[in-house]
Amino acid sequence: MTIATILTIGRALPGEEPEPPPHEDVGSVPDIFRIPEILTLILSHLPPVYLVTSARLVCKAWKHEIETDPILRWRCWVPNRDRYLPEKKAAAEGGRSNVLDGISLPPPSIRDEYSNIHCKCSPSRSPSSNWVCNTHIYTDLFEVHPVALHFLQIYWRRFMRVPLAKAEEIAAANSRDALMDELVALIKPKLKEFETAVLVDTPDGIRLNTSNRLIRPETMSAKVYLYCGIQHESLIETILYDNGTRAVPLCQSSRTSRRKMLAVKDLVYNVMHRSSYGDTDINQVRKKQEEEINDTKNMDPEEYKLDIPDTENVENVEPLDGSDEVPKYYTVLIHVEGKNDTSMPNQRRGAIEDTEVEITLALFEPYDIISVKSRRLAHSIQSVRARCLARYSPFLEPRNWKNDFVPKKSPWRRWARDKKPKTGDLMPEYAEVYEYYRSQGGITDE
Amino acid sequence: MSTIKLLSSDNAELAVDKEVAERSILIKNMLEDVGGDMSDQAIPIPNVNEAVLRKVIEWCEHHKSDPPPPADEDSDSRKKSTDIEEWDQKFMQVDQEMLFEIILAANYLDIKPLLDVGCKTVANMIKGKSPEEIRKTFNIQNDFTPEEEDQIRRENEWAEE
Repeated sequence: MTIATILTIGRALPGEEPEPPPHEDVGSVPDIFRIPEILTLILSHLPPVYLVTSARLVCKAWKHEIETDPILRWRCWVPNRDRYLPEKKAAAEGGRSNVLDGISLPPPSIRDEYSNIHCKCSPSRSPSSNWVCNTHIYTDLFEVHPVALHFLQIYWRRFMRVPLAKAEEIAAANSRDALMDELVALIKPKLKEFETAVLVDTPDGIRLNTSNRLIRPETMSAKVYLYCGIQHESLIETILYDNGTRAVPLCQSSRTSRRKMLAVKDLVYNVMHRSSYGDTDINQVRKKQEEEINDTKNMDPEEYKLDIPDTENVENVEPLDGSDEVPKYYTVLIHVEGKNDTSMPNQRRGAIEDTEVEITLALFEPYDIISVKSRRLAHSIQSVRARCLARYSPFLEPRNWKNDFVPKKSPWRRWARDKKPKTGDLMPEYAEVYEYYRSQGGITDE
Repeated sequence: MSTIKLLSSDNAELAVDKEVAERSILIKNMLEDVGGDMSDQAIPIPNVNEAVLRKVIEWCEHHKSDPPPPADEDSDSRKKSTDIEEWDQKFMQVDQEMLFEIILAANYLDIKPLLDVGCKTVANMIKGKSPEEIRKTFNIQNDFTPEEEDQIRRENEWAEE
């Protein structure tokens, strides 16, 4: 065989794709867009919502690729719509159980990108073995629906651009964390609209309950919590849904759920995330920002230098020493509790780890989503511990239950009982009170 | 270090280090298949012209010591990123025709990292543009009927605020 022959038959020549896209006139289309593999590769670098909303409108070939390529459908969470077109619906067997076909399990070609070390299907399962399963439970971390992130971005911008006076009015009428209430109320129907739209027709008899499809794989989640607040501070919690203990998935307004007493574990989780910002609410931050802007207006433009935060390095934001500086980020945490899969009688499948998805939003124009990071909750606890202020002693950590949890009020009570402050006296910092509490034997060292 | 010769579609002969040329999986496999010394015979690359082949060799030379992509990709590969390293960004600052030729050559020669960089560059050109702007940028014809276009727009209503 000659070299030229090898080169000719070795690979398909560009333009010789087996299934030409549904193009009536391909003469004007650049060659790279006529090769489905290259087109898919290019499109896979675009944001999922952009693919569904804008890229689909470019031409028939692009639309066809986005709606049929298994990898793109997986990235966009687009179910296999062909199966649910009216004429094909009757022919499809078991459509009821396969409504999420295409978005509940990644296509085989990319399944290697996922892995789950917790699967119990290993032939010789031992702690030292490096067995990784990507067949039964393909992943060990949950993912968040891209459409939910899209609406979080839209809503965040709208929310932050409301005039301050109006925002204060809303906060006074509703609650301090009106954002989260609105967010929960907004995202749920939007996800439903999205899924109904991409399926064209909702299959008969199938109730699209999208509220619990915020995360993937939904079947492996026990509970989903949402925490919102200024960077690691005053993160207020709501349960988005409970997949384990209730018959019907719960997706109630956060206002309702916050009336409940928080479980100790959740309370500690909040405490754990506290930073030095103090009890700051979002309107206070905006007030400070406006004051800063007004101050700079009165300054000589030569002296004024814009304080642009380092958005590349949000992880390494140092806690602030005082409360004078204005926080730069708002955090939305989605905390998903994983569970064991009991759907198989012999329990061959495994578990999925508790996952935390941290979405960092900028508190400055243009109010972008700075980052979306998924990690194991165990890792998160380590990093939170690293950035916690010393005043929040490691004794407060929720996962080390060797020591009793000390509510913030206990040191204050001890201090007030001993010092007997009078009305009008200046109150000390909490750190000082906490140290006093420790010195009096309130907490014993390790 | 042994050198091999590549023959472009326009019959230009380019000498290149074997190690550099083997960034192309096509050439690497072919050399393995043929075996022996190839220093006296030019390897024809019938789909790539001289200018493009020179660019591809330039890229391969700069990346010749890059580690091979891990067989078992870690979780980072889930995140599709359009970040391109600085040298590659400069390398890809060419006109659109050359960019597409490089992508086609990378696909033909099976140089996956170069293909990735090229596709990311095109994705960056697409990002943020309206469908009409995309069509204009890449000279793509709108082959939807007005009814079909309306139908898609109706399907996209969920995305509106």
